[in-house]
Amino acid sequence: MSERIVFADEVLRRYLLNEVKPLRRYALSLTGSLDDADDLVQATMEKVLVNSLPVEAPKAWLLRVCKNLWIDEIRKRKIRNHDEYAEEGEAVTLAVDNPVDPVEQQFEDNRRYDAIASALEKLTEDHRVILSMVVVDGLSYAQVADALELPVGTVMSRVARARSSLRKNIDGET
Amino acid sequence: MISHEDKEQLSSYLDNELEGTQLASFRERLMREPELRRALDAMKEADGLLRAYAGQMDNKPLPAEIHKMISGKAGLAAVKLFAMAATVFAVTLGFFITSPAPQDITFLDQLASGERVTTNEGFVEVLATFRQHDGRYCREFVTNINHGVACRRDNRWSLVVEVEAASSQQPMPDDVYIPASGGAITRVDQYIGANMSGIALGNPEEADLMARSWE
Repeated sequence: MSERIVFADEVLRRYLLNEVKPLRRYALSLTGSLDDADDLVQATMEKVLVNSLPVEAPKAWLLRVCKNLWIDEIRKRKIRNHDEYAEEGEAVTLAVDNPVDPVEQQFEDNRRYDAIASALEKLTEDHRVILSMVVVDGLSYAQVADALELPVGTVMSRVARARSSLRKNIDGET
Repeated sequence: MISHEDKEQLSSYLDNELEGTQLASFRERLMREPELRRALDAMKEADGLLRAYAGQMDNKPLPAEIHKMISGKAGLAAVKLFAMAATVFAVTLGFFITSPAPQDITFLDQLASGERVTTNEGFVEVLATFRQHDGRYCREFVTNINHGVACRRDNRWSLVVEVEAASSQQPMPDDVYIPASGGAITRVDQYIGANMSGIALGNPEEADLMARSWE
């Protein structure tokens, strides 16, 4: 007997309304683009509203759906970019939005955001995902291990390496 | 020079993953070793930058389309189409898709706890009635197809958690989540344990509520 225990629709929607804010932050740290982040959140919600979320560890599952959709998107873009490169002869990199903030005092923040966006972009996908889960979304190593189907020891080691790489990249940007 | 092992410890410390003697001895090292503290500060700063960067999303209004999609008020055509397709797929394979659940649960209006009714499709039985912390009345039930809890909302019963059995002989889609542990009763019990206020109501109280249409 196999079972799938998921939220009923009403409970699921309430849960998603609570989780959309942290999910958008997570999506931004994955994509490096404000617009891509919301597109990713929308795609994640569409998928989750169809399949629901397990009552057990819904957060880990939600982030996992989001991460998998983003990896699919990256693969598609790489194929498209490769085609464009072949046609136009110019390299295309993953777009990183410049955060648009008209307020002058935000200038310094925007400069730092650009630096962190570049630093994030240089991370491997594995490192970006795991840092987003732990640092941005505050998941425990056990929750991340559940979401990524990794041993907790591997999560611990990978988080440390990811942090180290991010620090180096930031120092290289500033 | 900070070793990788120390970086792991620093990282785990930042994430509150160290405990007991490990935590105590690492704190002592932090007090004694300035290089370790500097490395910790550098990690903290990078974390702060990353959080601030991701926090930009808080200043960007949530697109109306996403809000409508989640709240289910409008703009769900695409989702409904997906849901219909998924349902057709599920029926074809002969197993259950849990939500949204079109199940008729109006039997909860009048059936007393402990009573089982046999129908053409199988059976329905109410196991218990209780009040939630938010004041709503809820009923745990079991049928030949599922075991769940429904609560009163807008003068009707609304399913809040359920467990549906699927045959292990049938193929499952890749993205269907099957928990590695935990049985049906445990999951529903967990919901009840977390949400029930006081103890289950007795049959006289149930009868009184039925007479008042659960108001």
